[in-house]
Amino acid sequence: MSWNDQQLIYISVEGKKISGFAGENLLEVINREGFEVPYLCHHPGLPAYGACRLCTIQIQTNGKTSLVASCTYPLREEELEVFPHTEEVWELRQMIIKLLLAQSPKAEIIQNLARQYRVEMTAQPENESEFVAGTKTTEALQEHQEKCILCGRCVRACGKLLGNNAISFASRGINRHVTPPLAEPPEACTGCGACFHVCPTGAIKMQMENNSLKIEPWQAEVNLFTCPGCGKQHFPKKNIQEVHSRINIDYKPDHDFAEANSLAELCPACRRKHTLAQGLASKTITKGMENIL
Amino acid sequence: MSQHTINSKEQIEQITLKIITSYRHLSEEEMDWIALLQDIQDQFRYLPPDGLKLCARELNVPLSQLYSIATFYTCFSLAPRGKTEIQVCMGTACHIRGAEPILDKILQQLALNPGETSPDLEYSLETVNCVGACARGPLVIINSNYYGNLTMGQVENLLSKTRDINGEGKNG
Repeated sequence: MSWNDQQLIYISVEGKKISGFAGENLLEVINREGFEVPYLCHHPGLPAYGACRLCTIQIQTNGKTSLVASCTYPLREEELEVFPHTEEVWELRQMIIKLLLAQSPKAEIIQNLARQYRVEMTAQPENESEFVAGTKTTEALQEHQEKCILCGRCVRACGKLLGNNAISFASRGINRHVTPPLAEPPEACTGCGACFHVCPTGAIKMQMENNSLKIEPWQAEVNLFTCPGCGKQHFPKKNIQEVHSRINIDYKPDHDFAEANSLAELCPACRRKHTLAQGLASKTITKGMENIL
Repeated sequence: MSQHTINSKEQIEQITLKIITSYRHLSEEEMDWIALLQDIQDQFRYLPPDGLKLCARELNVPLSQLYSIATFYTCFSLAPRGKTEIQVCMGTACHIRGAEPILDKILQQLALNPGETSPDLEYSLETVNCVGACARGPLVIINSNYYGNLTMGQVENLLSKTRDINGEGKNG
């Protein structure tokens, strides 16, 4: 179904009439119009989850007023009036931020929200070190725990989106945390870095080191691929293999510059050079256009 | 029948594979992961990581999903448990009827903290929150046998009794 087949729905936000498609989630619709509803666990590329409750807004439908998490509220045919920033909503958000701040005091995004919503830090328990029972606490793990808000973005990106399932939630209650299975380096990790990119609080670290890419605190380490053009190391090997297998190209590492395979193995810089050389040779690119590429 | 020694990786995989066989015919919707893990736990008194990995491979399920289930429910343990599993009820009713000193007594006798297993794999101790037998509190459960209305003196006897039973088991 293309966008113009979809049913348009009109809603009123603080008296302003705005529109969105049926099935679209309310949070995205109202934020598109600039109402700046805060959120942490939502990500446009991931299935809705409703974990952080920050996007809670007040709605009025059929004469009834209620508070709902807008990220899990799909647009449907009904008379809907939305009030994203009432006093009640503000107070609720303050409480949520207060709790988030107590849980993850080191996360910058939470600190900023606290300033914005005038929330002050509550007293911290003195000894928090035994947070995750039964696992060895490393420095990376400690730092992660001080920032992670359990929004599940990384878990959804790795599992629902990419189907790798290298990490998941473990334990419950106060011990709930995100971890690779058995707290061992995850075999299923391809080093794609999606978890790192979607994390709202910076609780996941990714860095290139020597010949490998490391993602902490998962203890994930994957080898990098050497560009056949310049010898520079770029994407993770496992990640390239994964892409190859998904688009059904046989992966042959020592295949000598066979067109399809070799292009995927080039680093972004060499890939551009290659495209440019081809373009110049076939005259689809003329001199002077080089700078654009 | 529980195994009483720590099994080797091969043994674990062999036994786990047998359990897996009875689940293979189930479709994705029918599959009951908790039942599978319970069957494995019944065999080993814990969930051996090698067994979990085998399940993941054989039944084509992400290991992370099994790990999530195994760590969510307190009835599952990823570390070996003792032959004698002692659960001390710390629910409200038992608490009022004096569960605290009884737990202290047991802690003292076993030299274990709640949640720990003795290094010789004889005893595991844990506290539980209400087992629904409040009228019989304070209550201790030893290997699924309920001992209610306990007094301090009885606790002492109780532990020495289980010790004797285990001792006889060894000799016989």
